[in-house]
Amino acid sequence: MTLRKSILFLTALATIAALAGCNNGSNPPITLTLNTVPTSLPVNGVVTLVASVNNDKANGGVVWSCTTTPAGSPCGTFNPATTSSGGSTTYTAPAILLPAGTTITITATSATNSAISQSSLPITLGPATLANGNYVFSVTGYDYFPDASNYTVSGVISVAGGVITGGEQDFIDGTNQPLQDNIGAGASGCSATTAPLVSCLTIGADGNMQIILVTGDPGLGVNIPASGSVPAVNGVETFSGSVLPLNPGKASIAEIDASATGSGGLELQSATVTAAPGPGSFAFVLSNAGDALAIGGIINIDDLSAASEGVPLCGGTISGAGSIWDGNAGGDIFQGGTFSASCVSSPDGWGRVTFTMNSPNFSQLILAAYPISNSKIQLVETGDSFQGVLGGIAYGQTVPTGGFTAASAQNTYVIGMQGWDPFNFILQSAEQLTIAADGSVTGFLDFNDFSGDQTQSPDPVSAPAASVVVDATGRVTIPGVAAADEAATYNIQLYLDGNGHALALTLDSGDSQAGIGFQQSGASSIAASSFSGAYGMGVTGWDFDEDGEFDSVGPVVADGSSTFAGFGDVNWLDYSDPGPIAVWGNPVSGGFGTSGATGIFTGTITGIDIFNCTAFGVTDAPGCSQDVFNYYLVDQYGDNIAIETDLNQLTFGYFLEQ
Amino acid sequence: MKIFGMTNTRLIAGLLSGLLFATMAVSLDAHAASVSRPGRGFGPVYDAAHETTFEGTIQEVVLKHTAGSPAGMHLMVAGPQGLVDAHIGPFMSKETKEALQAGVPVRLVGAKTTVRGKTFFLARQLTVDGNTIQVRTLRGFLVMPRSDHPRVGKTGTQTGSERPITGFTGFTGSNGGAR
Repeated sequence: MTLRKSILFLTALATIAALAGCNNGSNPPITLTLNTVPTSLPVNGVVTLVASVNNDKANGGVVWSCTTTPAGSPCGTFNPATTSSGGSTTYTAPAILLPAGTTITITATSATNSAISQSSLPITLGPATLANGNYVFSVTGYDYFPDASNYTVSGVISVAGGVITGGEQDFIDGTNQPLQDNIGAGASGCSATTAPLVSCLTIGADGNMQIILVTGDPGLGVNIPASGSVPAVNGVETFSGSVLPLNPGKASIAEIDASATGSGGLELQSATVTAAPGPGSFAFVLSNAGDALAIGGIINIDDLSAASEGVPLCGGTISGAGSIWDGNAGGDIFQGGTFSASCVSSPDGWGRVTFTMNSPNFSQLILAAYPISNSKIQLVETGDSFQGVLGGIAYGQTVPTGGFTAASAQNTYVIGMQGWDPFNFILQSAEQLTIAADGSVTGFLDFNDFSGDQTQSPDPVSAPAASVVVDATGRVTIPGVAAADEAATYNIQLYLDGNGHALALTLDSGDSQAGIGFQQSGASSIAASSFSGAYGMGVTGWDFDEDGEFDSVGPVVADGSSTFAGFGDVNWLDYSDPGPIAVWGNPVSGGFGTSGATGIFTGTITGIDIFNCTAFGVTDAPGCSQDVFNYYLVDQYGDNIAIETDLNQLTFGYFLEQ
Repeated sequence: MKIFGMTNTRLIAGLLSGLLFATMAVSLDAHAASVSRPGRGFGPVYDAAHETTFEGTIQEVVLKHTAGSPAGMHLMVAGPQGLVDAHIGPFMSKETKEALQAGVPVRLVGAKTTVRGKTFFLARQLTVDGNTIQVRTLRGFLVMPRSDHPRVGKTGTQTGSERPITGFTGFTGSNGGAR
């Protein structure tokens, strides 16, 4: 071939290539871009993922998948599992720690051409734990040491670099004098087997946090005797905690030791609580199931000028104006009580303040208060002449101009309460109440006291027009809410904070209950698919024979369709048979489906039935059974209050994302 | 003392009234509540207005809970009205438990309640071996013991004194007109 021929040949090839290129230019290849994916996530961690597909004329979108290396472990879930180009999916990491060295890879694949995909870098799954900061905790339950009674403990711990550096707490139970203690500092690298034991924040084998608090107080918790050269350690409380998937500063916790079993929460304390709470008004509720005693109302902090730490009778801070309370003491009802001059102290170094409450109608009530923020305060009764055993919560109010009105209350509320009734002593309830413009109430109720008195579940409830009375303080009075099957007719008192909470108690001669209610949000979007993704589960209840309270906390993941699975750390204190039981990482599963009532889903939970699961050591236990529950959804994200509706045992709790 | 809404004088008067006319007081109270406070509560009621007292002999001490019944100890008592299922709850002391045997005579004060066709006698007061134990308050709420040692279950021991749920028994009539 001559040079000229060669040039012509190459020119021809170039022309063909150019033409081919022009053809490709009209149909460019599909490409896919996966946005940045974290290389580490906590168990149950949630992250939003986005992938974009280019040049896909079919607009097939993205298919999401994951794998583990080595294979064989759960790799997490996607909701939705397919997205449009540029659409987002919510990825939820597995609820349990994976075997050491195991990593997760997330892959986005073109739905049109499965050969086009992009994978993330390997993701390491780590435990969920607490960032630096102060955390307020509060737990209520039943203790067996030093006596057998209901108890509440609330306090604050400081965490730095994963180490508990100190804290303080207030504890009260049925017969003890209230106990206020410092919490000892922990140490880096500590564990539950450190000798001598120190306060410690660790991650259990199941991925739940384990929080050990050493108070040194022999009057509470577990006392560990001296052994050889290791000195005795007194007042040890052990908690398990499940960090909420969408709020790393908050966890559901349960006390899990041989001294006590209880449920509650832990939440990051705002830096602004160095100031005394107020001025402003707070909705509050206090209760003690063991005394069938509940008090709720509004505390209005008028003026902070008189506040001073350690002065129990400081006056003028709470004048009594704009404050009001209601009480239920074992069926004896007091409504519309007043406070006389009362006060709130300045905070100590941990933010703890005391509310010294005076009333013409009762002996002085002094509450230790641990603010989580300026608008959320955990309360526990301390040494006073009231001599109750009260624990509770207060929410700062956002008062509408001119005060609360009837219109302020016209919402749907999801409320969970616990208390006593004469039939059984333990009573648990969950309800959804809608207050209409005409002052009527409609909704649904489930309660359980082992009577099986309800013939419908969820049981429709109603109150006629003009039933609801709203005070300017945010106090809502609703008498005569009646269940369709006549299993309940009750008077409920709500205390609105104007920020989505409705604290509640009943004012009936036949029961005494109190609890927290939530203004339902996103109701139009609530569906079975709302209960989707990761949740922190925290439940409390009593076994079939009421030999003892049990509590359980752990992460679960719902598939957004009909099932969920996870695990729970369980504490059951039964001193007869088989004795105290703590089971870590017990598998939990459940189902949910429509119930016929908007926002309420009927389902099951398997894995916390004390008498049936062999894990809890009851002789001849047949194996875990599917206990029947109703889930009352608080919002479109699936946060809900769950209540057992069969007669196998009494169980009540929360599934929370944030 | 955690007493709502009354002076000491009124408290004493209220307590005396309560002691002397307990049944009447509760009846009046229940009536007053029904006027402006329509709610009677959740589940089976303790009908204090129709309390009865009877004596009988224990036929059986039932510790096993059955579905639909209140948890805790039941006494099957043979009396003038036949066999009565008397619920005395989970908070009996060791001494009381030991005293409660088949064939032992007892005296019970309480009220009947019926759930799904089954009638239970919710005992408020139990007298056995000459000792009277307060099982429930006048409102029917079980009295939880205040003990220095762990409450134990079916087969264990229990010590400590039993006490009223609250000091609110003199509260009636001093509630600011709420009911």
